[in-house]
Amino acid sequence: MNDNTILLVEDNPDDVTLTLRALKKNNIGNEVVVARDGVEALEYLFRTGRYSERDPSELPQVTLLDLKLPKLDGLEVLRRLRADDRTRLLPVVILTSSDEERDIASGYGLGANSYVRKPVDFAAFTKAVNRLGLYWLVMNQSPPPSGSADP
Amino acid sequence: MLVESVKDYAILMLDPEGRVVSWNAGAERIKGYSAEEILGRHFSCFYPAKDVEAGVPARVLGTAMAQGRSEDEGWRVRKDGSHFWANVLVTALRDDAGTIVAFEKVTRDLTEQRRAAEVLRAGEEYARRIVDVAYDAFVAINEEGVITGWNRHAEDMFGWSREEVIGRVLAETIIPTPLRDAHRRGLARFLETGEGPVLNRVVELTAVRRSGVEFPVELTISPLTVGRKYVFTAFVRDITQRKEAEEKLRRYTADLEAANAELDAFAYSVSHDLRAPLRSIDGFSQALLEDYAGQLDAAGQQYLQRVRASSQHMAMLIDDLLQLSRVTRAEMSRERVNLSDLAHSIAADLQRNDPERHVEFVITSGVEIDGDSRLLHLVLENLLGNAWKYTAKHPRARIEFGITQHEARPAYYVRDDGAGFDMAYADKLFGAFQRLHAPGEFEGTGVGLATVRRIIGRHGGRVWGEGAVEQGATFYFTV
Repeated sequence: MNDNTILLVEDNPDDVTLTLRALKKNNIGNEVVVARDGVEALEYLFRTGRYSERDPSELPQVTLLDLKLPKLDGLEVLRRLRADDRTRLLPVVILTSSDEERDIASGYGLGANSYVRKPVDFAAFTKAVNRLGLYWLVMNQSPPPSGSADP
Repeated sequence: MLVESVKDYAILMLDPEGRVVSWNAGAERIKGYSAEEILGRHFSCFYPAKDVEAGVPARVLGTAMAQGRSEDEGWRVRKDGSHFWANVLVTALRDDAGTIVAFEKVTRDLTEQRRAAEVLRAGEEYARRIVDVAYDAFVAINEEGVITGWNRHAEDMFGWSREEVIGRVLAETIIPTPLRDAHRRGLARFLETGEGPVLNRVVELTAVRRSGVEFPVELTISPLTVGRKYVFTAFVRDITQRKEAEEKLRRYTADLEAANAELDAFAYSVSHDLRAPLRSIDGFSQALLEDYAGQLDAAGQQYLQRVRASSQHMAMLIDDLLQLSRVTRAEMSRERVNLSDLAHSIAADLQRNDPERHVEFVITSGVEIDGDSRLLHLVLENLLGNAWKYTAKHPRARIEFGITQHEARPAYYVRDDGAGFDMAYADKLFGAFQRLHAPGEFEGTGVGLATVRRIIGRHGGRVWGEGAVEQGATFYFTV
């Protein structure tokens, strides 16, 4: 069982490749699950559809969530995660192109743990991913497994 | 005795020739002569000279003789020469044989009444003329809903002349068919209960011209009591143009909001979608450099570096453009902003990011204005950032922020002693993407001063620059 999975919700294949490359360059060897749209992300997290057979004890250590996604956009995915007890405390980092204030505000408003704008400069992107990995995979204490937070 | 004591009437007797033979107290009071002075004199002395010349006194006696009495009104003269307006009744007195023995003359001084009547008439005329020249149409109706008043502008507005319209029923003249019942009910209810919700306030209604064309009006209806009856008066204003202007304004506002929403959507999609390909270009160029460096010679590696530099420059352009568009779209708040504090914090940031530089900041303290603090922060960030950038080639530099006077208004300025610019190009400074320096010389996108100008413009101010090549630049703004 791997409880250090990273869920990358990203529809742009170039961004997927570059994000994986940045993770690798930072020696972050965690398993990365890629969801190509908001619906797939929810299926993975709630073990429905394509992921109905998935090990129920397994939740990603961190979810990297793009905002502009096909079918269901990132903010809606976040809203549904936060509405469900199983994923209410799941660490979610919004990783997106936009630095529009309303996106940042909505992101935090819906309970994102962090908001990172993807820089165009790949060196800067690698550095950002390094910091993300360091914080969310190394420094941060994950919330206790779902359910046990409630008395 | 009674006659003698009457004071309000001059009562006197004339002999058949017209000489005064008796004189009472009223005559003395009205005409000013004592009995001793006037007895025996001819009564023509009471007439103005021109009336005497015209033979008026003789005609009066002639009329009295022929018809028994003569009554007239006219000017008469007092002893002191002053005139008064008199009502005069002369009656011929005959003996049993029918011979005239005397004339009785009763005179009343009506000067005051005449003056009062004149004042009243003038007042009525004045009021009528005011109503006539009023900018609004004036319409009056009686309790039966029949038109009793109609001024010139009502003629123009409704197409009915005063002569045609007086006596017509209002409802059938200027009220559109669907509203007639409401008018009749309103009138009946007021007469019955005294309640009139549309009275004495401005109401908007639809009226109809003689041509049948309906148009919007604004009017005030006031009930006045004349005698025991009500008269309803209305001042009516044609608001067709205002309604059209309002409608036009509403459409413009809707268009503007739509355009803004579109611009917003556009900026949002630019922010998301235009940057993604640039990340790929930069990221995969870097991947090539890292993974395939062995298969690329120095020139090939150099080319990839250029691709990366360009994609990053374009990302900067996109960001600056977005900022420019945000500055235009952003909601403005107004508060007291301390520009000196902003300048200090921006200067500290600049120095922290580039600690090798020797730049002296001279910042006038306590400069405060009313404006949007975030936008004004952007203004100073751009101006001080420019000053910082364009002094970079000098070993030592001095950057000032201060306040001065321009055309009797306070003007704020940022001054540097750096590269400056040629005043011949001063008009290009504030255009988006206009640059006076080659990219190799000073980096930049040419959006900073355009942003500054938009922000200052939104504050109702003006921004301009002065400078000379290698002698520094000063940028001024007012708000």
